[in-house]
Amino acid sequence: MSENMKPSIIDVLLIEDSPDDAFFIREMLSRADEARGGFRLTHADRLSAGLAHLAEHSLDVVLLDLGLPDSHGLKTFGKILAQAASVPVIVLSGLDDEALAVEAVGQGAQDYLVKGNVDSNLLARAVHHAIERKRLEKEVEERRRYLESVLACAPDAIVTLDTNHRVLEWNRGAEALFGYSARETIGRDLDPLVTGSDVDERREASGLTRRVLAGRSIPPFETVRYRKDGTPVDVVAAGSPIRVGDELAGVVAVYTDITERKRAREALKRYSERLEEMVEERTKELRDAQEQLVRREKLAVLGQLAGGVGHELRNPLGVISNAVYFLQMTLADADEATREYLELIHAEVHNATRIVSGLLDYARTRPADRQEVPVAALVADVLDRHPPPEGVRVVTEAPAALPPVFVDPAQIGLVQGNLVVNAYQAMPEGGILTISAQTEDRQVALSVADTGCGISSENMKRLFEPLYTTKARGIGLGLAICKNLVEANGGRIRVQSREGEGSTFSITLPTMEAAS
Amino acid sequence: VSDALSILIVDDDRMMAKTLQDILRVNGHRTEVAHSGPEALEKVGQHHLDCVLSDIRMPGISGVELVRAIMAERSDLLLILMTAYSADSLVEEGLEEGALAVLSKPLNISPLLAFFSSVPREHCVAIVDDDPQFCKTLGDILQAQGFQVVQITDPHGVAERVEEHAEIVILDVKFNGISGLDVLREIRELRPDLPVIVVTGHKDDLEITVQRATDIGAFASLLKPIAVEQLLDLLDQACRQELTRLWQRSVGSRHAIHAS
Repeated sequence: MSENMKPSIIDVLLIEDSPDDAFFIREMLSRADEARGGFRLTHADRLSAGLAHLAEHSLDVVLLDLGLPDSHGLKTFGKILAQAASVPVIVLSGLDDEALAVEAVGQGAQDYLVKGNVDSNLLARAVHHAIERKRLEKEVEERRRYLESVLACAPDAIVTLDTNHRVLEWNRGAEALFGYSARETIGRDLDPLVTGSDVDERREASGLTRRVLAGRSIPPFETVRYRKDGTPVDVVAAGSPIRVGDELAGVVAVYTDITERKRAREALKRYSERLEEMVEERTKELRDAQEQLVRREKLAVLGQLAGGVGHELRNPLGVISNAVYFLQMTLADADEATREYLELIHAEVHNATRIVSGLLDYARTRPADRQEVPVAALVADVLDRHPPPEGVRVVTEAPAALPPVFVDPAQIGLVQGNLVVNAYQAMPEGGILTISAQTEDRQVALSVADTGCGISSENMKRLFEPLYTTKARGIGLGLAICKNLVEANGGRIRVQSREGEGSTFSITLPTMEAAS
Repeated sequence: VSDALSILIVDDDRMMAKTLQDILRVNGHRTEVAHSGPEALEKVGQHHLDCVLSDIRMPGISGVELVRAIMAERSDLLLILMTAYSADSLVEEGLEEGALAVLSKPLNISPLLAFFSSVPREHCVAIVDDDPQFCKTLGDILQAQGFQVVQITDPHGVAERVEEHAEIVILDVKFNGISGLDVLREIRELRPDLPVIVVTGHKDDLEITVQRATDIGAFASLLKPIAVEQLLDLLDQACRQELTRLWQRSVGSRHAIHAS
């Protein structure tokens, strides 16, 4: 703009077929406005000549007569506009065609002058105004385009409404977010377009629009809007009134798609929840491991203690045993009561020795000497060593072709012995002892079932703990030893029991195939 | 009928030693008691003993070391160890060093007494050879070594006579017209566990003879003239084998553990 304020020559192209009119205009321009730098007039008497000049020269303004030998009426203006839209045009008209000139102004001419009613000053002023107006027009247009592209580039949906809630602007962001093209929405009420069928949601949305139209801004808030295809979309919406001067002109609404943000946030939330879970799990694992460790340590100490006590007791037991033997020899003729008492001591020493042996078995750390053992041999051996007491019937159930188990026969024999003796003791009134075997995925499950008193659920929990016993006589090492030995042989021990119906202890032992 | 034995009881637990001593005495055995390894070795030197019954774990010298020391001096002594420990690393060592067996405490006395009563006071060796000179000279040597000797020069009924008397047989394979190997076969039929040491004067067919004798089950084979040291060694081994057999018959396993 400042450039135009400088004194400079204004280049004028006059397209006029009348030599007289041309002469007058040249005269008028030459007299006018010399202080500003004056005008340089080029005259063309045909449109073709004018267009040719326009094509090659930069001009500040065109003075155009609409009626030319090679073009008439508005067409003439149209051709100039088509060739040089940026050059301001002043239409020259006669008194008889003023209406046509007004029409040309409606189509983009800057002004019109009626020939004969023009003086030098008026012409000069008209030229200056035309130039200035065209410049402003260009500026406004540029500004409009700039704003339009800003709107278009914005990633958010930006929508403007008039005071009647009708859409005025619908940018590309809005097209992308809602799936409606600008053409489909402009002029329509916004709220029904972007809200779902839910009445409350729609009421809320139009309530917000009314609030904005009442002049209040709606700060960004999270909500759900709907696309053209009816699918919901998570958005942050905000609304502000548009004021032109003091007057409220409408509403601008901005919607930001937060689907991704929300997804990320939810993922983060899920992850943090999972993290909590993981921490919890890990804590539990650690706690279990700690408890296990404490338990093992306790058991190890117990094992040492058991071993030590066992060995220490064996010597005095040995002496007592010898002494009783001696007395039984030398008092062979003593009275019955004496002999009975000696036998009693002898039997109790034997019991005590058995308990000590249990302690030592528990403490023993001999590694399993594993070999392939036929299951039938294990069963036959245990029944041989522990024949059933009176009233107990033994049933064995085993398929003919069982693979041999890969275990230490002495250790598993001890386990079987403990289980069978326990079973007998659980059936003081007699019953059935069932020893059965079956293959179980490269392992052999060997069960010892009794029809005895069963085990209460309270006792079940602590069954394999050392020093836990329900027997009046016994120190509660039998099953702890069984568990240790079975596990040392790569097996597992389980128990099922129903109080009053009986118990089944199963040991699962690996075959050679499973062990390798 | 076996005689009473002379038994040394070794245990640092005095009551254990005393009770064992009383039991054995009541059963007619002669007993000595020691409460430590060195004391035991001293007694082994002083008394004519048949057997040592020793605890395995003692302060100072252990039962195993005691066995090792005695075996160096008196390999003919019967050595039995006792332990209060069921899983004792010394048990295997003791058996390897020459102990006949290891017993767990408390002792199961009756089988032990049964074993002692079955142990012969002297070992009886039958020399079966048609050469009276050979029989006599070898017989004198063995008697001097403490063996009871039966000399058999008559080829008839050898197996029956041997079965009746001998614990060990020394048999010549060239025996008065009969094949010694046939006699060996007969003996084994009557007494499959009786150790028979086969001797032969014919170096040429030694290999074949040894092979055949081994096939039939001879304990060992020797070439005449007999190297006395070697024979005594074999006799010693044969005696131990016999004692082990007796032990197994009376007591059972050489490592008797109490079943729980």
